[in-house]
Amino acid sequence: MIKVQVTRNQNQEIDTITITGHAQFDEPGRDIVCAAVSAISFGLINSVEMLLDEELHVTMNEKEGGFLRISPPDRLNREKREKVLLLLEAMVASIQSVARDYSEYVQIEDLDQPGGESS
Amino acid sequence: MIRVDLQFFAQKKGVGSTKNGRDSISKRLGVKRGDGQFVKAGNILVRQRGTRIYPGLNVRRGGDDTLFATADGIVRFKRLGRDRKQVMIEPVEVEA
Repeated sequence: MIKVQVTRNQNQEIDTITITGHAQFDEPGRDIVCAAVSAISFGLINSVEMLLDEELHVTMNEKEGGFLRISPPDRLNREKREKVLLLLEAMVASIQSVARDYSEYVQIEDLDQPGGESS
Repeated sequence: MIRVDLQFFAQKKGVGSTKNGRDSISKRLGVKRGDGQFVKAGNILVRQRGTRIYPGLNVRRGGDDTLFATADGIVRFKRLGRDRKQVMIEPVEVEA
């Protein structure tokens, strides 16, 4: 089960997105749920660099996978910060849509939603 | 840019249980703008630790050894002495 936890600051802006675990939908190399979450996550990280020439804070377990933490860079001007946050929200929304259809394999906990319910 | 491992969250072969939570910080160092590319003042050219590449004309070094352009222009990489490299910016007049 891939677990996605979104934490937010007092302005409801995304602080961190932490993704842990393994989908275990199928064997490695054929795990499409894992591929979806990986593509969304890494695609987002690279988009921020390609589109905004900024680098997110990224912590990952490169050796065995299964752990990725993303947070916005510090010291951004307001316009860039809004764009970075919008891209992060798009990432959360994309993973949520995967989680809705593959809820046995992906669980997302966004503490913004009432009661921090997960979908 | 980060490598897209589409099986990053798949069960790794030969790993019985999920072991996660350990961190390794990956720094995406390296050249960010290529030779011949147009850049604006302030654009980051090279992220590095130590001076693998030296600052040349219209290029300055930040506190973390990052090299950035101080003028609009074209990026040029040149040799510096026998075995060193430097990056400089050839200013170009930008039409208003």
